[in-house]
Amino acid sequence: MCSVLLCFFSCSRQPTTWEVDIALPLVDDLLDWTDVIGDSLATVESGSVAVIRFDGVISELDIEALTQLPDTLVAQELTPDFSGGPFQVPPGAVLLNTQEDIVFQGIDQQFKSIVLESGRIEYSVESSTDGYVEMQYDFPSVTVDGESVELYVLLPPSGSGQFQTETGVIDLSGASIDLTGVSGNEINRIASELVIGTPAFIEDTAQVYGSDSILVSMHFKDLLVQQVSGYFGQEMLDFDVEQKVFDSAVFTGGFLEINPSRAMLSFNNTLAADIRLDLDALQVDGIGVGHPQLGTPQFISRADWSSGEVQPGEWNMDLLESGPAIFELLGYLPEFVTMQGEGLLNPLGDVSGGQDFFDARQPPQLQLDLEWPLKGAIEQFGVSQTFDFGGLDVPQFEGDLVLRLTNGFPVSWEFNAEWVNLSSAFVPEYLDGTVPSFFDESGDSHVIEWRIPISDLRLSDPSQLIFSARMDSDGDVVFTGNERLRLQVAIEGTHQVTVE
Amino acid sequence: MNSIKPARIWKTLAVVALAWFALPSALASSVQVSGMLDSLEVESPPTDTSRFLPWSLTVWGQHRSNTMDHQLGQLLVRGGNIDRSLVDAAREAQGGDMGTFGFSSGLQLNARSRRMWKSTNLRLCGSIQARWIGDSRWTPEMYDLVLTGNAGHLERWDVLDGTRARSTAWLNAAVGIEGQKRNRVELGLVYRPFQYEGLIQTGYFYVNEALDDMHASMRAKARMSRKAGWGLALNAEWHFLREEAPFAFHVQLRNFGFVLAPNPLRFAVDTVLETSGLPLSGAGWSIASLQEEGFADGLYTADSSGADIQMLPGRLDLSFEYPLSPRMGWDVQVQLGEWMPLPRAISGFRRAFGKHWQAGVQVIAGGWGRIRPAAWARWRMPNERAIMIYLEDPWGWGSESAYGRGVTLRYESL
Repeated sequence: MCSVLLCFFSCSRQPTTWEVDIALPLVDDLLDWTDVIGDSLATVESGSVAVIRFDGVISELDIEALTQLPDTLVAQELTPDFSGGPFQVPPGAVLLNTQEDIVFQGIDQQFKSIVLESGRIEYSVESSTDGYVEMQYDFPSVTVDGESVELYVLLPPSGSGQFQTETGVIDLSGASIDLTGVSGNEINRIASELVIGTPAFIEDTAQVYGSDSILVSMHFKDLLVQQVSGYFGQEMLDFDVEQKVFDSAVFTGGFLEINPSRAMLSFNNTLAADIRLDLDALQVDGIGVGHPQLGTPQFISRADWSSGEVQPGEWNMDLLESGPAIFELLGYLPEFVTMQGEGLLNPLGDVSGGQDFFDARQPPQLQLDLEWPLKGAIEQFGVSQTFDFGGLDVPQFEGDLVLRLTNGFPVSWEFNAEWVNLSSAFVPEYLDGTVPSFFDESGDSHVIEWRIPISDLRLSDPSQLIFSARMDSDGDVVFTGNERLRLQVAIEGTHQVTVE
Repeated sequence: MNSIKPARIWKTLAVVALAWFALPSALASSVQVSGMLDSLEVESPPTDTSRFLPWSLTVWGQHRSNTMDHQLGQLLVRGGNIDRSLVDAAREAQGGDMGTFGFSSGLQLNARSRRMWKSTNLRLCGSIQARWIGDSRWTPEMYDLVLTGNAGHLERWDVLDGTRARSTAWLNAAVGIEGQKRNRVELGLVYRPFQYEGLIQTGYFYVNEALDDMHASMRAKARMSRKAGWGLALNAEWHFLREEAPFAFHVQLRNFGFVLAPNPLRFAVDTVLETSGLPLSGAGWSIASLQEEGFADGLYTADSSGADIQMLPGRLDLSFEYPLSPRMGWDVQVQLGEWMPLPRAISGFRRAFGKHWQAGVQVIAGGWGRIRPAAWARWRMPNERAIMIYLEDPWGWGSESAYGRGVTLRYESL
């Protein structure tokens, strides 16, 4: 009875609604020096005087000539020296037995050995012989996990005018390859041994005609090198570094007085090959910076790999010696720092007797070691951030959005906030003002709060909060690194709950 | 030959009358009506001479709460706008106690064979039950959060521990044997089409007045059946009826058993959020990550492997009856189980009017509700049939402010 009644109720059920009063914190975000330095490798060390420290790689040299080998196709076709036929070939007969070097064409360097990061051999064997044919293709100088690569293929008899075919792939990831060929004195060559014949363990007599053929092809493809040794030749290297410094979308303008205590640009040569570096220009947003080492060839000695660990050759450039001072330009919040030039491998030729070495996992690097105490003047330093909101579904809501800004900097901030809905149904909300510094002598609170009336329609509409602030130190200021600008958003109002 | 002494006759009549009155009383108080004794029948074989077996059919339904009145409950169930005054009244009624709401409905058909089995004193008996029950409980703070929001009690720690909701329905077809004085035992096959349950084991919520500090934690679990379950259940009754004793005592066990539930969907939540507000972006909790699809998936675990053995919400009734006169009696009953948050205690007074009418009034405490009255009436028809109606809180039936409804109807052949 109750079930029937409830079923009846549920059939005629209306939504249940009631109102609740909610008050919740939504957003608590901080703008600090981490946001100032962005997504770089820089860190801020707090202290009596904060220090921005950048100690990391800003560029790595990718030398394609040493890390990518050209695809190489090797084909062997075996055809009888007679016409007509058939001739009977008994089991166990050897039709071809040859030792040959597979030569990698199109390599300017003289490689003696390589270790592959990845690569493969795609092989194909075809036979039109009316009888069983076996093929043994060995690569004694190619080893994977300590085992030399060997390929054995047994093809069954083919029909008249038909080919028996077998294809496959040999994975060469991690393969060690000796490129000195069969003689052991060559370069860029892989020793191989190919034996074609009839299998001894199958009692079958092959019928060979003059028109028959056996075709073997080996295609070395997509060979990426992890380690390579030999003589790398006098390879030219383009040196074009572009480092993003300040994002103009975030840092809208201003001036920071930057007086670094250390600013060293260094190049670590991890190749066991000499490099001559010709740096032509260093520019800050297109403005050239002079330095004694620019335009002068810099010779960087080869790395020492004899112990198994790299001892790189090092070259340094003290940016504090630049003129005009690079940091004056950086103080104006530039977007990019660029450096152009070129390098030359083995500028003195093969001085090592073919003992050059390169490990692609440890490429040559350009590094910056920068230490910048946060002490100085700041003029109209502008920061802008845009936050996207996908919309908040709070049906039947009427209330306030409570915005609170707390200034933890020793200087005041002028700010603008614009809340824009993506649909044109709502007029944008604008807020602006000044948040005094936290030790403002006038006693003004460094916390400012606003209430913006909102409804559910506005909350559910996707919107953007565009927040911008400007800071002016009016003289030298010392920052500790703990400065924060805190943005808090809370919601307070009445929401109608609806249960369908 | 022994002579029949007047005192013994009085005692016998008293026991007979007591048991006679006990039947409708027990029916009414238990809502779920079962084969309670009619001592006239105990002492004599079934008087129904129709071609059918002696049987009884009972249907019942009740819902009850200790805080929500009928109007609020009806709005929650049937829909409509809930005015704040109703919410406040229920909150005031709840005070600092757990709020409860429960319902029980179903039907039960009992039968027994007319003749003894072979040359024994045993009869074959059986019953079919269809039942649907539900139980929910909430803390005062949970009630506030859900129905009034949190703005009215900032700076207060809301404790949600023990808040739960569950419901289940099942069919039980049982056969067994019945001995003298209607003592019986049955074994039933149970078919349970669904059950769901959710429980907040620990939960806290706090927001400060400055709206820059919020703490929310939740450790909860839920389970929902995805397939029907099967099981076994035991029903048993034992009645103490002695001619020499001036009282009667009854024990009744219903649906004591289990169900094997295959692949139930189990959810578990164990998370804490303590924040002054979320950062606009970044890994973990942030405004940006909240808006990403699938963020909520990481907050709970779901599992549906294997099968669960779950106990049926069985019930134990203990009744004591004492005759005040040949036409009046007093009874006390305690009911345990069936997901009731508190044992249900019943005390009642009954009286016979003429040969065919009996009626009684009761006071009920515990279960899902507050102390409330109940009343019943039974008419024994001339053709060896009887009908009974039982109303819980009868004065509340015309009132929106009553804390529930309850009705039981029974038709039986004697």
